[in-house]
Amino acid sequence: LSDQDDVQSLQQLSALLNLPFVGNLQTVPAEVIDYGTSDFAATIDISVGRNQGVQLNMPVVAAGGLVGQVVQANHSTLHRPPDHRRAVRRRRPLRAATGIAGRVARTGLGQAAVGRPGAGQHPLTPRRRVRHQRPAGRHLSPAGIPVAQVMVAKNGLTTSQESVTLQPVADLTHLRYVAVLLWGPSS
Amino acid sequence: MTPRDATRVVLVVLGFVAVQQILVVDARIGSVHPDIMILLPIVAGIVGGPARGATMGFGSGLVADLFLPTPFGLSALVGTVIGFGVGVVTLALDRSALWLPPVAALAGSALYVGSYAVLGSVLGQPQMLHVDLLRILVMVSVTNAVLAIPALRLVNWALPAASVEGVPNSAVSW
Repeated sequence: LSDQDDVQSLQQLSALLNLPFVGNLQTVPAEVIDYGTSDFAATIDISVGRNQGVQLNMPVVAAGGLVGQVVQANHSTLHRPPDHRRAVRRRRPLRAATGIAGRVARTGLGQAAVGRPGAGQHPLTPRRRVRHQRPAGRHLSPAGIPVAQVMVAKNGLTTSQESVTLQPVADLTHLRYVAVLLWGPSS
Repeated sequence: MTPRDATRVVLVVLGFVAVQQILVVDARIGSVHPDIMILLPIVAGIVGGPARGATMGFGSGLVADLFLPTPFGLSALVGTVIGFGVGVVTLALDRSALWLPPVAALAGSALYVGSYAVLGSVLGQPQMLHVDLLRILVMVSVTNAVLAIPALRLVNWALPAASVEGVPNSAVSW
C-alpha cells in the first residue's frame, strides 16, 4: 500500500475486528461514504442500513469509542460533536458496492452519562477516559463504551464551580470505517 | 407569472442547488462552507419586492432542505422571512445602486445564519447553537456579498419585472 489513506483505512478496518468495549454484541461494519452538507449538523453517511439489521438509535462506534447513533435506517447520517467538525477532513467517498442503505445520528456529549465522582471514586483528571454509564432513563448505548477523554478538569468549592472539558475519543479526523452495534435500549 | 417565467425561476433554483451541492459544499475554509442558497431570497427581495422575496425564500428553502439533515422546512421558514424583510427594507432604497446587493447580501446572510441557528435550537436541535457560529456567519456573509451581483443578474433574468412605481431609482426620467 503506497497511499497513506489506504494504510489508515486498513488500520481502522483491522481495529474494528477487535473492539474491546463491545463485548459479545453483534456489530455491522460500515464504510463512511460521505460527510454531511450542513454547517449546523455534523453528519456522515455510512454504507449499511436496514438490510444489514441496522435500526434507529443503534449506537455507532469506531476504534476509539462511541461515535454516534443511528437516526434513520435508510440513509446513514451521523451527528458528530461540534468541536470535532472542524477537524474532519473532507474526502471523496469510496462508494461501496452496497451504496447508502441507512441513516444514523449521533448524540452529543451532553447526553452522555458523565457523573460527578463520589467518595472513594477516582476524580475526573485530565486524560482520564469517560465511559458511558447507564442513566436512569434513556439508554443511549451499552455501558462501558468510551465516550470522551477529559481534557481540562477544574475543581471548585461547590458543584457549580466545577467544570470538565471533554473531547470525544473516536478519531473523527480520519474516520473511514465505523461499526454499528446491533443493540437497543431494551437489550 | 407566465410559464416562461416559472421555468426560468425553476432553472435558477435548480442551478443554485446543483452548484451548492456539487461545488460549494466542498469549498471549505476552516471546516465551514458557504451557502449560496441564502442568496436567492435576498436578491429576489431586491429585484421583486417583499412578496417575491418571500416566495423565492420559501421555494428555494424547501429545495435546500431536501439536502440538509436539519429540520425540514427550517430553511424555507427563515428564507421566507429574510426574503420578505429584504424586500421591505429595500423598498425605500435606490434598488439600482451598485452597493445595495452586496450590502443586503452581507446583512441578510448574517441575519439568516443567526435566525437559522436560534430557530433550529428551538426546534430541538440544540447543537446548532454550539457550532462555531461566528465562523459560519462570516464565511456565508462574505461569500454571498461577493456573489451578490451575479446572483442578482440571474434572478433578475428569471423573475418578471416588478412594478417600480413609487420606488426610488437613480435613473432620471422625464
